[in-house]
Amino acid sequence: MKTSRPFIFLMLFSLLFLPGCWNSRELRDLAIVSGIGIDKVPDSNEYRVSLQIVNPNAVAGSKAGGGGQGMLPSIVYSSVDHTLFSAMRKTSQKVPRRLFYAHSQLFIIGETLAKEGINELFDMYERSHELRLNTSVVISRGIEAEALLNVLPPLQTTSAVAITNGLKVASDTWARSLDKDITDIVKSLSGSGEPIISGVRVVGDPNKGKKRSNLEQTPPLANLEVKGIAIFTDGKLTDWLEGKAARGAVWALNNMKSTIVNMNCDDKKEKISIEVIRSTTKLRTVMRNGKPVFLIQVKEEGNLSEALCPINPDKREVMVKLQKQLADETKKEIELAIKTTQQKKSDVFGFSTEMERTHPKEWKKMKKNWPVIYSQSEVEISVEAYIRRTGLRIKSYLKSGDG
Amino acid sequence: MMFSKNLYRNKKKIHQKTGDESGRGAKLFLSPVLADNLAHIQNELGNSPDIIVKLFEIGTSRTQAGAVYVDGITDKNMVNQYILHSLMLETHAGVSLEQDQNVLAFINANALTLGEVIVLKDWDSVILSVLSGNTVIFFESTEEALSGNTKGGEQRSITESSTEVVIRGPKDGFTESIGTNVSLVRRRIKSSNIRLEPFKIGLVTQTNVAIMYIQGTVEDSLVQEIRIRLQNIRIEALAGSEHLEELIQDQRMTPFPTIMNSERPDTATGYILDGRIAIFVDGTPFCLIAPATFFMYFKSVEDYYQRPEAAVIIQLLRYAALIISLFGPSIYIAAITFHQEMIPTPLLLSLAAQRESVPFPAFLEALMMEFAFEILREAGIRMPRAIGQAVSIVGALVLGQAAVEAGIVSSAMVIVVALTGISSFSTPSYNMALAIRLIRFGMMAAAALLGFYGIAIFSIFLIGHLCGLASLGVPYMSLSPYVPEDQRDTLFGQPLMTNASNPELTANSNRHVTNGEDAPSSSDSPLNHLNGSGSE
Repeated sequence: MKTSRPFIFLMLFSLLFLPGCWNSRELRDLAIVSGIGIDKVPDSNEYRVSLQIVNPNAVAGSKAGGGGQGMLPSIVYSSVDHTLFSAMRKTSQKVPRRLFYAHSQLFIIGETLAKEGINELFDMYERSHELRLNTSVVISRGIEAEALLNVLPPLQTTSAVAITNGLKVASDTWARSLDKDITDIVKSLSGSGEPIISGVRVVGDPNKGKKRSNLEQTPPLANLEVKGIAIFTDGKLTDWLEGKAARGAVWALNNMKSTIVNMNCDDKKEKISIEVIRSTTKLRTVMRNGKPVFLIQVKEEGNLSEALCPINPDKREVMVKLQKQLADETKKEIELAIKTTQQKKSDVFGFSTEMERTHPKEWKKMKKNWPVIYSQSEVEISVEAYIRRTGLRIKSYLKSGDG
Repeated sequence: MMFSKNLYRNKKKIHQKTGDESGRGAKLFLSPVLADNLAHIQNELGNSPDIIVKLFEIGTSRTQAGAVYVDGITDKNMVNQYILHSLMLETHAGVSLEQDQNVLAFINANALTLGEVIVLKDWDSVILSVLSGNTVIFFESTEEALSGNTKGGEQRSITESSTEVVIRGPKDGFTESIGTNVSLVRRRIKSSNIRLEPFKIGLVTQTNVAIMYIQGTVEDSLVQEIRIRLQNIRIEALAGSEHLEELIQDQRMTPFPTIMNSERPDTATGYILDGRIAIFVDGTPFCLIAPATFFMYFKSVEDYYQRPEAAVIIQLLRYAALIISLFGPSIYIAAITFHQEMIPTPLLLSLAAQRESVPFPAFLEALMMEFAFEILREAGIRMPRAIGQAVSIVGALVLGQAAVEAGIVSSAMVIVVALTGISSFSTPSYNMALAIRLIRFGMMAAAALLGFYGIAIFSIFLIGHLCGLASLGVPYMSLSPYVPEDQRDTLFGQPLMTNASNPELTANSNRHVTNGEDAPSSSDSPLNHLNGSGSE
């Protein structure tokens, strides 16, 4: 037995080498996909899948490799097929490298496709081990998803990165959009509610945005803008929430991080601005007379950040008045959002889940007819607003007649 | 003994020339004729010119005598003043050597003003004595000789250790002389329980080896084990403590050192007080310490000289450096060739851009750089100091910058290799760092073949191997029979007062009783806290 010991070691050693590096991929053989766009091919049931591939040489301004100048930071390839995954694979015919999806950050759905329904689009994401479930999802407004990927954005490497980052920042500070990822959408699609997805559009000429010249002037010929929130009925895009209605939806969804609310200063319109710094929303459902009633309770906190009229916040009644104004404004915006969604029979706020959780018996009866019940239900909104600080200054330097 | 079987592996064929020395039966005794004796010893030592034979007459009695010593390894002043001077002048008032008196006894009692004098009868011991640096004195009509300890000669003085440097702490280091080394430790432990056992190892070299421990503190079975291992060594020449380490270690097939070594007396003292055994070998400034555990190699005495808060952080840093030096390049290779999804996107893009023009796969690139770095490091140690700058310029410019600019390696790889190299220097023990260096390449190969999966497999084997190691029968990874009390000191060097107990695996359990009585009062030495007398 002793003589066979080296032999055993040899066998074990070759076991290491014989299978080879089955899963090894060298970095320079990879095509890193940063964003995926999906459009409907007109008059057919095929999809056009567009892949935005980053050119690392042009992106990382590294000395190594010499080149970099003259190269575009990203290239978009697209293919048409009956399923998304096969269209993605089909793109391999055109791309000289192996497609690598683990770093794709953005999933864009063309507006035309969204209007026809998005229900089946996410199955591939849930099955694939390479695609990430925390990919942000947006809808391209008034343009094809492919065109959105084609835009060369200033300040960011690719349009996918620009949209992902822009959406995050805008949602956190301006609160008229929502950064929803695949998981969120699959969750609402699998329940009785509806998904809610932000829109992105191109400002300027999308065709000029494709060219390098887009980056050579300011303002750019084409730029990307996060705008509006799409609401869906039965998985089909039916309406857009804009401006204050969009913000109302963000509030109701408890996604409010920070925003600026403008309010009237006596007779001057919208001349006081409050920065909301903290806000929590609670949704509740109660049954009243056999009908569901939705309660939305908001608690928010803000700072006075600008007043274009002489006010004196060290007086209590002034602050109380401001707080009431803020609460009223908040309530108004939420009402606006609720009204629109009720009109479209789109329960984006998750009342269905809440209903199922708190009133399981009643829910069984309502389940089938939920969109209609939702659109007819009463919604009660209560807002508690508090203004914490007035910035570095208390009394405005502006002189007022009445002091 | 369960471990002693390994020792016989090193048994060598005893050489013909030394055969008669080992044959204990045929002992040659001295002749009563002085001239014969002197001629015999000169003959025996091959008429070497550094063997000094001095014929003289003792004082007034005119008894013929001859002193023999080896020039260079004896202290000439001692020979002149305490042997020749006192014998030839015989200045002791009122006493003189009578004709019928025993010469040896008289000289020993009255004339030799040396502390250590022994009587020798056979040639073996005479020759060993002369070669050890003693002066042997033969007398006319006497079949015995006197040997006086005159060891001395040129020696390196006690200097600061160059391999284990501390910022704050004692600056003395061991020298090549075993006597000096033992004394350096003895000075630090004034306990009557300290034991020193001498051994002579090497049939030709007859190298002095001594083990030192504190009776009662150390587990007796460990001392017995080490005695057996030392006695079982059959070897012609002992080159040094590194050689001895190989002869007495538990396991041969491992890259890890299982017997600790140190050039610092304070380190040795600390471990002796811990209940470990120090082994000194003449001719080398490195003493061995056994049993050793894996974690001892990542401790520096410095940890006890600095405030514990800082020492803990620095130790954690050292372990972090261990992780980097072991896994650094392999994690990089695995991430870049298998797990690209784990790298943050901007970093991936930057790495991809760097690697765009690199013609080699990541593993080959890493191997090349590591190889170049190892060459550079080896050259840095071996080269004469005067050309040091040339090497660093070649290393920094050619291998670093130029290679990156030429697109042969990526700059990220240079960073990884450099970080790994620096990390491996932070291990206080050089032979442990060497082991880690060696294993790193295996880890890299595993990473190149199977990614993180390969690293995991390799690590499992590595940990298994480490857990299977033992030092004098004590588990090397001292975590796995887990004695929580022992581990307080592993990572967190605690203040001396709380650190009074000794490791259970090595120390004798009734040590407190024996030590408390014999130790000098605690005001004498601050080390008593460590000794255990201050606890309870």
